[in-house]
Amino acid sequence: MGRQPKARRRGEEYHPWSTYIVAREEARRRGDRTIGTELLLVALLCDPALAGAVGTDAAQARAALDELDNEALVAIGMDPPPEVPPLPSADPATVPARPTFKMVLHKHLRLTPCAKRVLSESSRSMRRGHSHPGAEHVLAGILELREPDPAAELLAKLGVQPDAVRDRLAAA
Amino acid sequence: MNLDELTAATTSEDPAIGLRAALALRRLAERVEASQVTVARHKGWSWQQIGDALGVTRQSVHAKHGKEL
Repeated sequence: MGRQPKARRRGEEYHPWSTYIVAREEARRRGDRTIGTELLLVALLCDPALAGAVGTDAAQARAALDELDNEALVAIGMDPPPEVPPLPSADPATVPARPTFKMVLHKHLRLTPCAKRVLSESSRSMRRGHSHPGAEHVLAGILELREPDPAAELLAKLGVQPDAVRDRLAAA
Repeated sequence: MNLDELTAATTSEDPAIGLRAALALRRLAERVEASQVTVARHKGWSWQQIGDALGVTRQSVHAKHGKEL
């Protein structure tokens, strides 16, 4: 009877697009018009397993980003920094592991060049038939970044040592 | 604060902080714009009027703020 369709349920395997969508909603919440590496990191931290490996969580990362912004605003003389509430955005819990094209393209925001590189390199390792490609590949790419990259600055602000996280990921 | 003071403050600082401040200001501007567009819509402003006030077309302001998720 020819080829059998692959027994693979949609929505189960991880795809970097899901990280993109969560990061995009973080960007929308903050008022960003582009998605930087720091927001990819916040998106990854929404996964409790990765948050455990990094040793922090998305809420702490958001607070640290706000603090970095406020420190910078104070440094240029905006003291106290104005308080403007974040904008409404979709809940990360509603994003499936493998989103549809429609979800990716809906209310699209651009990635910064570096964020694009991090995501596309993780997709490339998927195409090479990596044993079990996942969000940890994207995280590994982010851990490679050096200041003044915003994700590296966020990790420094959170007091996270990239080498220690790499060791924990390798041990897991 | 006047412009000279702002320039002095921004140039005397670490560029990493100054550049982050520029991005933080952009984020603030976006948040203020989005919340004020909502206020204007509640007050019955048309997309045309909001577009005129922001200096963009009514289509672009509607595409950006028209339908929340």
